[in-house]
Amino acid sequence: MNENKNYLLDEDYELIELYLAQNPDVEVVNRVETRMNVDPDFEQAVLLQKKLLDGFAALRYKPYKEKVASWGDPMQGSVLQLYGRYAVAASIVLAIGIFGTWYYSRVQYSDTALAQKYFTAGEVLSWSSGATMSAQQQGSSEAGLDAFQKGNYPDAIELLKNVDTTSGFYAEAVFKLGLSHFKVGDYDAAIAGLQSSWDIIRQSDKVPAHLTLVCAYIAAGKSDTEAFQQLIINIPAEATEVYKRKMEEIQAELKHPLRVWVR
Amino acid sequence: MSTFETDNELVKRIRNGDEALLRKLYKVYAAEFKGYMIKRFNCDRQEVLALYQDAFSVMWQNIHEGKLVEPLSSKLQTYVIGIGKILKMRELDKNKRILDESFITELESSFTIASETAGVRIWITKILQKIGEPCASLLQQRYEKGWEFEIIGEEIDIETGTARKRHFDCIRKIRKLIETDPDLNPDLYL
Repeated sequence: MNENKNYLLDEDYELIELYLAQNPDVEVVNRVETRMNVDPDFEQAVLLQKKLLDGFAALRYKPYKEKVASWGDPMQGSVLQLYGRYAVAASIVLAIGIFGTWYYSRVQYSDTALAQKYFTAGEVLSWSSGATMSAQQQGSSEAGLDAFQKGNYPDAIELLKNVDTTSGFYAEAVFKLGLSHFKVGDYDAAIAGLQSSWDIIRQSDKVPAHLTLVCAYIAAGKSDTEAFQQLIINIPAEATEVYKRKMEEIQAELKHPLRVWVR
Repeated sequence: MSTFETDNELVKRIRNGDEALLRKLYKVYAAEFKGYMIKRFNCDRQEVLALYQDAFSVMWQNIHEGKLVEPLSSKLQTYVIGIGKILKMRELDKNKRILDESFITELESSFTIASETAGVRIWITKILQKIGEPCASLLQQRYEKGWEFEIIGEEIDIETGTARKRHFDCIRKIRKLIETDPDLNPDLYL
């Protein structure tokens, strides 16, 4: 450096500022760079000005950097967020799985579901055998049996509970009264009716009556009772092997872990 | 027209002071930046964080100061990664020509490298302390706040031409100070 530096004019410094500004004009660039090549003092002024601008840029930069640094470590956050998203997804899948299993168990293993399952199977298995008399066969004189045949179970209950014990189809009437109670969901009434007339019923409809009673006990939530345990092992002698296996199947299903869970 | 319409909108919102958006982008861009720096430079976690904060700060400053404007020639996230690359490459003192992306070449002259600014900051702070008032305020108004001479003149109630003359007198004064005070030699700091 020498004393010559002071000959630089305000216009020279202004030109240097323009040169160091963002996107300088081509003419400005040419003028400055040409002069830098021939005037060392001018070149030194340009370099110093550049350092000054860098210095002030650094001062301007500081608050941005401090602010950004205060936001913490986003790398750690991004990993946690990623794991967080997986955790939420896994929780949703787990919740759906638990609910689905519970719902499936509820549908398959609840008292009512189990009773309905075997009762329906029993209808096909047993009392389609024609062992009982139909209302039509009796000349349609008994309106209660007729209502039962039509699936009108509330009317059947009202009519069948008043059937005369001397009637020729009294046994069938009390059995179908029990079935009607079962059909409308009054399982306690079905149990009471069938058990009170058990000796009469078993003369003609032993197997289907037994099945109805077993299912009524299960549906009423009384499968843990001593009466039910006696019932399920005292299978009528007329029962087929298929029927006996069904009773064993019922006993196994009553002990199923999913059934224990949903109860 | 830029093909990065959404990013153009982001730049506009950042320039208008949307700090909530900046904080969101700061989180969103982090994972890709980290992945790139580890894969390309095998940086450790602390180094990646430092580079990321520097690069993000530069991006913010450039938008705020009008150095990064629409239409963009790259996505904003790519711009941040590009700055990170330059920071790392300068640190490694490698040949910059291997950074062949055109936008990075444009970028290189557009910002002061954060990791290199600590010394510059100390130097300029000493200059301002030594030069005293009114030069310190005048230079800060001109170079920190980016004011035109007309605004500076209004602020201190003098003519525009007078403000301009005082400003360049201050530059001359700095040159003299550097010459006479060895502690202000920029080579000690830069």
